Amino acid sequence: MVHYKLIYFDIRGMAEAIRLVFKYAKVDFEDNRLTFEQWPTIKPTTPSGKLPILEVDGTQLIESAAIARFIARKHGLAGKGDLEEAKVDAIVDQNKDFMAQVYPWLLVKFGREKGDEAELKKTKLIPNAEIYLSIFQKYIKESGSGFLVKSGVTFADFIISEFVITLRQNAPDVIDKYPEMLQYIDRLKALPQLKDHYASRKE
Amino acid sequence: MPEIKLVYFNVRGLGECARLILRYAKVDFKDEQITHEQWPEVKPIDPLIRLQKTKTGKLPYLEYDGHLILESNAINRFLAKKHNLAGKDDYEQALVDGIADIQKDFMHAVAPYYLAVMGYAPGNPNELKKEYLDDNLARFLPMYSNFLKESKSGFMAPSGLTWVDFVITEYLTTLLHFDSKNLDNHKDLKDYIERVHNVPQLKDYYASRPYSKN
Repeated sequence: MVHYKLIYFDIRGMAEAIRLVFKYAKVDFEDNRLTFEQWPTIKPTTPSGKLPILEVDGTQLIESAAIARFIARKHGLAGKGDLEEAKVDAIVDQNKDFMAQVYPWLLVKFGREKGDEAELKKTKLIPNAEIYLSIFQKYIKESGSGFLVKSGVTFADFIISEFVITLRQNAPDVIDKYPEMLQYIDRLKALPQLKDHYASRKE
Repeated sequence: MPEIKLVYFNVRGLGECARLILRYAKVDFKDEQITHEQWPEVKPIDPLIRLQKTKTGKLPYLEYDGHLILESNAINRFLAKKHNLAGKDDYEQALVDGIADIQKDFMHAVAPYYLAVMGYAPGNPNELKKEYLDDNLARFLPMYSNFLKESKSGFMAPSGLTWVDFVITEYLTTLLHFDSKNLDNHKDLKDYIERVHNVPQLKDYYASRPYSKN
């Protein structure tokens, strides 16, 4: 039996999508949550100075999307066939661009950086939400499955929905303008394999 | 034989890796290159029409056997898997994917500086240089040196050449084009670029491809 140890902070952040892949696939894993106080001593011992890390079979894997894809592939959650896998990868990369565009606003909203939150919300969040949420809604409509791609749930659904949930927590007035995204998130939260996890996790 | 068409600007940028994979594998493909002046015609003004083809109005895209594939790394991974350039097993593929994501972070982190240098974004490059270029070179280049040291193969993955070597050496080359001193203190990374450029299947292509600053 392979032993998986996921190392991250005690928040959803960039690891929650990985946790959801494990839980959806009903695969046991050690969910090692560090405090922010522990991090400075552990950081220099890591491959890239960042979390999450997945320890498996004596190896340390890094980068949230790479880890999610690695586990997802083993459990039919990476897309069916090479073309659908490429589509899933593309959507995850589009979301990475979305995050890169929006982060300057989000970091100010979190209080982690100084800046004009209202101005950044107008220039960074609102136009990019329009571009990217429209695309994601289009994928969901076209797939026919209720999720991003035709074959059903993939790790891309967990990555995208977690980011949109975070955006909604910080700017409900913007995100609530995309009802199909909200319905999509509810659809994920209602999945039998994950219902309890979503209902009981810390927001 | 599937019909393959790659569409990107007439620069190396985020399209060159796919070109390198296909040339490495000696696969015929149409290398459609668009100048920045032509781009408004290919990308019509009407946002709905623009989105239809590329969904985000961005390049590159790949047409493969009648299918449309978007996003440079998705294209790169899709092609690499078909030609033994993705990593020898799932652990190595995850390592390669992880390094490619680090490279994206590196590129995004430095972007405000270079976009200002090229005039594509506002800001005084001199004021942006330390925070966006210098600090990120100091952060990311040692990581790449470390990965190379650990792999022992001379490439990022222990088993040898993979697609991420193309992505990274293209960006390192761009850094050198902007300032030949950017890789001072990183001889190992300059050697790494040379090593990738000397891969037998690609030596001639690298020697003869047109100069592209970025």
